Amino acid sequence: MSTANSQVTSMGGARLAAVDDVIAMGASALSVADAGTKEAFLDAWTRNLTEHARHLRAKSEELAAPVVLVHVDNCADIGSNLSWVRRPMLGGAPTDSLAGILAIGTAEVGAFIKPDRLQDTESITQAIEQAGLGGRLTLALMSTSQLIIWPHGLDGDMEPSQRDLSDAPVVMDLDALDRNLLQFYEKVARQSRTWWKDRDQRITVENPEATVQEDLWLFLLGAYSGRALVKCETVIGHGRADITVRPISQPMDASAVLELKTTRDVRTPKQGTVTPSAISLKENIEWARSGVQQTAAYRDDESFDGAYLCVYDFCAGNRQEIEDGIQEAAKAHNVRARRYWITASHKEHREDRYPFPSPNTEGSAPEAAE
Amino acid sequence: MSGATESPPLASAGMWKAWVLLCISEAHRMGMAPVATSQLHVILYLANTLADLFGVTRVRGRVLKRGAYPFFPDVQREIDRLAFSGVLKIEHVDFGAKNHLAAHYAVGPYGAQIFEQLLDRSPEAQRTARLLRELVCACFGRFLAARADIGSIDANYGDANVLEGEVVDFSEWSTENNNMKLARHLIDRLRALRPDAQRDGVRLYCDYLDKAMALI
Repeated sequence: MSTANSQVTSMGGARLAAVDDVIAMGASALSVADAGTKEAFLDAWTRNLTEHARHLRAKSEELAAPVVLVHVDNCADIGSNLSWVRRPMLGGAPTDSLAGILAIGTAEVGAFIKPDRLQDTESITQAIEQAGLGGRLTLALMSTSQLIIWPHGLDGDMEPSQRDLSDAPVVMDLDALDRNLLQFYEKVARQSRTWWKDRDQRITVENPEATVQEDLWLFLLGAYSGRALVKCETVIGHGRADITVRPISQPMDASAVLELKTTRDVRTPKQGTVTPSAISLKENIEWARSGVQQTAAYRDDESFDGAYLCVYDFCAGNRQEIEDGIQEAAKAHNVRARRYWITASHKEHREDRYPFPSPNTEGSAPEAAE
Repeated sequence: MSGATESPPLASAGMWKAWVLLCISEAHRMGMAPVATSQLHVILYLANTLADLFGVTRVRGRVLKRGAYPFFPDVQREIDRLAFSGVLKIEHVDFGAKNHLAAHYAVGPYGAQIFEQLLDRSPEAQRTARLLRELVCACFGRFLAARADIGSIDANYGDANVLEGEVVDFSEWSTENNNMKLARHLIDRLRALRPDAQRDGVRLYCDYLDKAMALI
């Protein structure tokens, strides 16, 4: 008799074999978010579509046409208005024929589908536009090896992320997580338009940490769904970790806790006021450094493999002092501290990435024109 | 005495109506409505057995063990009243053997507004709606779309110590809520993955039902 069996013999009509199955399958029934939320939808449908692609690859078949899922808060009302067809079990089995389906859904299984199957991306894009769904979380299985996710819809400002679905083994270690964080920075964060309220004055949205957290969560969900549970605001000890990543079953994969901080030059004026109050460099450094203690404590409380401090730095000038401040604190506690500078304009981005050579490094000053 | 803690019949009739409307509305939102009579009774039963996970006050802690799935005859009368008054609507009816009818319910013309009012005015209704949302999502995506006969494998209802025709008692004064025991056992066994005690408690129990259904 297994350990599980021995502990549930007093549980009425429970079938012990099924109890053992649930335990053996571990995280397959666990959710990263409440039912009906877009995070739960993204996590589940990434898995559903990945499984479907794997099923086709195993049969050496190609995906005949893209499969597109769009999240809405109430698929019944919207689906009925569009005269789409209810499919309560869509996504329930990877063997279902999905090619050409454009669907809207709310839950982890089931959706309303457009009655006619669409064969190309152009007609799908057009149908999404016509249905007014351009601003909704969208997933598209483009082939048996590629899944694309638009976290804020096809019309959203956030760049889509792509997930490679090939059968090649992938190790999800801390270096891989680092690469994902960098990818998020380059694709989403560095030139974000949605995180600013007034870019010219370097005023961020009212709660920049929550905004960054939501976008990063969606990004990591798309990247890790099926391999890891990516959760937000997990209660740990006396605090709440911003984001946690826990591998589901691969022993080589690493778990991590991420603490997010934002630094900025001014506080966003509250409604009814216009004057932003300044935040000093010292205050920003102290604030960012406080994340080191939080993430190190969460890691040790829960035995995570790695602890990250991710500072999204909205301050002007790409200040080295903030970088130095967090690195010094992080080193003492074996925390991986990463600072990601957010530019306020394309010009700022270009000047930072493609600076002109300094005259001093080029030798003598240019000759005056003759 | 059980009567001291149970809601009086009139009050519980109102509670049942609220639970039924919350359940059908959540199923509707997720594209799962219409909901068959058997599915509705199973969800209502499971919600009562697992209510503690969400800090929800259960409406009833007992059910008569008769038939392949838990069924509350008095609640069925309230469901029918909701349908006749336009809060719910009957989308279609299955005609079975021996003049047995099984209705499939959806949100009626007055249902959506009452549902919104319930959520706006009552934190208890919000918690109940969350519990029912998790149950609808966890059950319909799995076993309940195909079959509702959970009786023999449900930890409470399937308990061999309770004979057909006897009452299955999982109320708060009883220590015999085996569904909760099993949900907590699963949460405990998977604690390394830090399951969310509320929603994952519901999901794990429904996952158990799904796997057990495959065995029968």
